[in-house]
Amino acid sequence: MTAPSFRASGRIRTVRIGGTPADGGSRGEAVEVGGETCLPFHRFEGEMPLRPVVAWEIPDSTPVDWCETLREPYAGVFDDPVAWARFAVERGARLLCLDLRGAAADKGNRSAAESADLLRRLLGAVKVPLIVKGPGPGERQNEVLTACAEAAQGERLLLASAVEEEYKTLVAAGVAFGHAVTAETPIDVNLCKQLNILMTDLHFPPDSIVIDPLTGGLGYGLEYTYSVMERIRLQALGGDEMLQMPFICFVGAESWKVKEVKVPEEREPSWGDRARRGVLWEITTAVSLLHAGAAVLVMRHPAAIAAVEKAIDGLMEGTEPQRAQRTLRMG
Amino acid sequence: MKAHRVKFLPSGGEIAVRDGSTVHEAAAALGIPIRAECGAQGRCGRCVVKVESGDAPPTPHPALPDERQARGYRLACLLRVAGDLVVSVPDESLLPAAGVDFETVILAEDDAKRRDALAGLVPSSPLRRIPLELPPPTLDDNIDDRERVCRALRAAGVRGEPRVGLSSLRRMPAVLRGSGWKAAADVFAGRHGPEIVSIRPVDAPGPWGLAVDLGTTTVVAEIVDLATGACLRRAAAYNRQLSCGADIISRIVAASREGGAGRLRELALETIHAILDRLCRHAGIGPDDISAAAVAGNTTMVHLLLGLPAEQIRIEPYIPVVNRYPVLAAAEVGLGIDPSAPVLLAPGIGSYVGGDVLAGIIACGMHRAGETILFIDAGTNGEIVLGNRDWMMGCACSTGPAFEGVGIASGMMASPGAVEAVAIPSRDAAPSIVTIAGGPARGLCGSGMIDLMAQLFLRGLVDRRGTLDPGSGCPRIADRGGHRAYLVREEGEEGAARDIHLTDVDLKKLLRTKAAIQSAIRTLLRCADLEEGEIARIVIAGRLGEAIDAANAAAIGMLPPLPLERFSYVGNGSLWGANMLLLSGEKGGEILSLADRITYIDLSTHPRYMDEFIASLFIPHTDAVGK
Ligand code: FES
Repeated sequence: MTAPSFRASGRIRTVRIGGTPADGGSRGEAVEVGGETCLPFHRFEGEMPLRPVVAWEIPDSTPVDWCETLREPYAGVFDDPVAWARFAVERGARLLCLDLRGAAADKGNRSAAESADLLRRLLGAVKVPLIVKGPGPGERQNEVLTACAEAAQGERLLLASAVEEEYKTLVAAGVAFGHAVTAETPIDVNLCKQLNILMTDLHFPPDSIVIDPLTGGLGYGLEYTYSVMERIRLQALGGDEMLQMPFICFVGAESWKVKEVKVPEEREPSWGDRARRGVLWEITTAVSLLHAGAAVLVMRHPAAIAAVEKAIDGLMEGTEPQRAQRTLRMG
Repeated sequence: MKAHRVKFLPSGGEIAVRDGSTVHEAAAALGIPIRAECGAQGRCGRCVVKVESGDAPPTPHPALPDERQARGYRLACLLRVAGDLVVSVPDESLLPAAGVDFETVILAEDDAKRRDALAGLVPSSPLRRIPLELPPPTLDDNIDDRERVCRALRAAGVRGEPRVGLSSLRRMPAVLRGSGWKAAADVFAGRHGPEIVSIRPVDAPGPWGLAVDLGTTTVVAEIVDLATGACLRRAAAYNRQLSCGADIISRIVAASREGGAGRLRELALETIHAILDRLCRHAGIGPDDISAAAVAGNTTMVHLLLGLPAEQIRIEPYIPVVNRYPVLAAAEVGLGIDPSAPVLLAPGIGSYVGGDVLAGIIACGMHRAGETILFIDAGTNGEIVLGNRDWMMGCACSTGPAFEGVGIASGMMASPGAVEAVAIPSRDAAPSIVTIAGGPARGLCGSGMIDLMAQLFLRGLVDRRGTLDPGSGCPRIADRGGHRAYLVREEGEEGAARDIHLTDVDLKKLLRTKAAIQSAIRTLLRCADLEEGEIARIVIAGRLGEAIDAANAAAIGMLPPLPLERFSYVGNGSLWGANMLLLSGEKGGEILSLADRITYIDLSTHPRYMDEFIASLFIPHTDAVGK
């Protein structure tokens, strides 16, 4: 008997992040994601040419809201984003995500020029590509990300995030300075597709869009995100061009805000060691989203990142066509 | 108990109300039709009044910024009376044209559609006027008046023992003697035998019937000659229940409150009576001269008219009190025509699909057709039926009152002066318009709104989410009342009495309206496992205007993009249905049996509907791009 196999009629677009000197940028190497013609890791049914990537989250200012478990590994660099970026790269980071949280009015109110300046220093300090995340949709984000886009012309950033009510400025900045943009919609296939259409209607190249389907941490709507990502992906592989973009998931931010990683062991003895619990929470969230199709995972804890990198290796290797055939036959 | 006086300007009406009642209630008691799209819940912000004197604490609402509150503006539904008050009611806060001064709508197109819809109908009304051979009573022939009439009826061929109501008995002696025994009987063929509705002088004109389309937003009625089937007069008015909410759900909620059912019933009757009054004056007859009535409306509207509890319609598993209504006497219903006149009510199909669609289906012949027909009644409660002679399925969707002009800045009902067609030749040029009955533009009706939305989209002036593009540089896009708006006509331009424009807020409402219809159609097609192209004909009913431009409607996705010759328009199907009930026992029977043949699909519990709806909140549709 032969197992029925899924044949895709569409392919996920490959999105390139990071501009090398050939592009007019200064990155050592670009990161490429996407390119699948099969469901996540189903390499026995199609191609999955590119490995999902973990991006290390680098806050632009001291993240006072981060818990003890997260502060500890970053003890020496916690107040210095540039040192933090170097620290991550030394530990194998291929992609960073600069979080411009300090630009928010209530979190430091940094000016666009200051943010752009920090970005420049970061680009000078490390050679890996960058995601730049704004403080949230609105005037401020438009200003800050436009300034960053201009400051980093040629570096092919991934700017986050365009939303339905505020996408035009970001798209314009992306077109003008050659960056990619994430498109964020609230866990819905149709809204996701609509935003992609709206962005491409403005002549934004579809291979410069990364979908942020919006995720919850484990236990907080993760299964909902999972099934929506699955639906988006099935529709994309079925030939819907306006959904054929890779996914990004902000795993760290979601998993480290849940109650279960914060409550100390003394209050919930049966939950076990808080630090271990937090790391496991981030790992489980990330690995679940990998199975749903995530191509970029933005994460926080080095131990969780290491575990997820390992899991990705295992998944990529374990699903090589020959090996999968063997497993199938054995099974 | 304390009472206070509230005086309203400019009408000058004054009323004493209990301490703590709202200004909205006071206005309602006086019959001042203040808007209340949310059902006087403090949500819609439409019921703004200005306090001229007296104590009035602020009524917070985003629609009323502090500076307007400071100038005395308040929401009537939130403002509780705690002392004597004088308030003025700005025009924007009044229901459009809902007062006594509503438009009479007698349009040539309506008459043509009526003719088409009723073509082939041989008038054979269940109410017949039968002239009586009545010898005056003598000492020898001394049977009572009723028996004398019945004897004459038997002689005229009426079979069975006629029943006579108390009110016609009361009037009988005077008519018989006053006419010198030259009388006629209006006899209704009831389910249990003949019923004498009234005795009239043999030369009295008539018999007349009243046909009513009881819409959620608009009520239309006409006086009909039951012998010939001709329409004497037609008029329309906004449903006065609008002051209790714009859609069905808020009406049911309002009716469920204490005293609410009675209030809504009164408002429905008041609306019909206001129209009736006008019809009678123009036709030169008295309301008592009308011997039968038929009403078609959606399930909720008929329930509210009859004072039936409607709350179960809203609550799962959505059960109406009755779908097949008994024939009632006008006096029971409270309808101010001949008290014994039978009132025929079109049967309902499901909790939200009413008898108002049945006539449309009969008119377009779906129940006899071999090919598949899609029937759409785009009223406030949109009703859609798909099928052919072998099967039919129907559903209802909440389209809202936008197409009937309510809740849209420049909206109005389809009546003279309404812009019913729009073309935008180029981005900068003034749009060319067609108004109903010609003459200067007064507002936009449904078909004009659809045209406008489509043309704005096709010229790149609105994006796929229905937002006007401020960067387009189009000189006709300007700020109106704090919102971006596209100016169809400015005040004074080609004689327009006021600005006629469509705002971003209006566009969002229209987008929801079109999405409700589009997603309902798509869901029905999916249920039937059919593709758009397999629809042989699309028949559109409703009060949107003369005709929807099918190409424009398809451009925004509201209707399937089929060749134009597949579209046809039946006009006010609901009203034609009421006519069928009045004019033909056979057609009436057909309507009744049709109700049983339509499978009702409940969209609110359909797993795909919500998904379809969101995909349809996009021009033309999310799946029209990228596949
Ligand atoms: S806010 Fe007063 S009626 Fe809606």
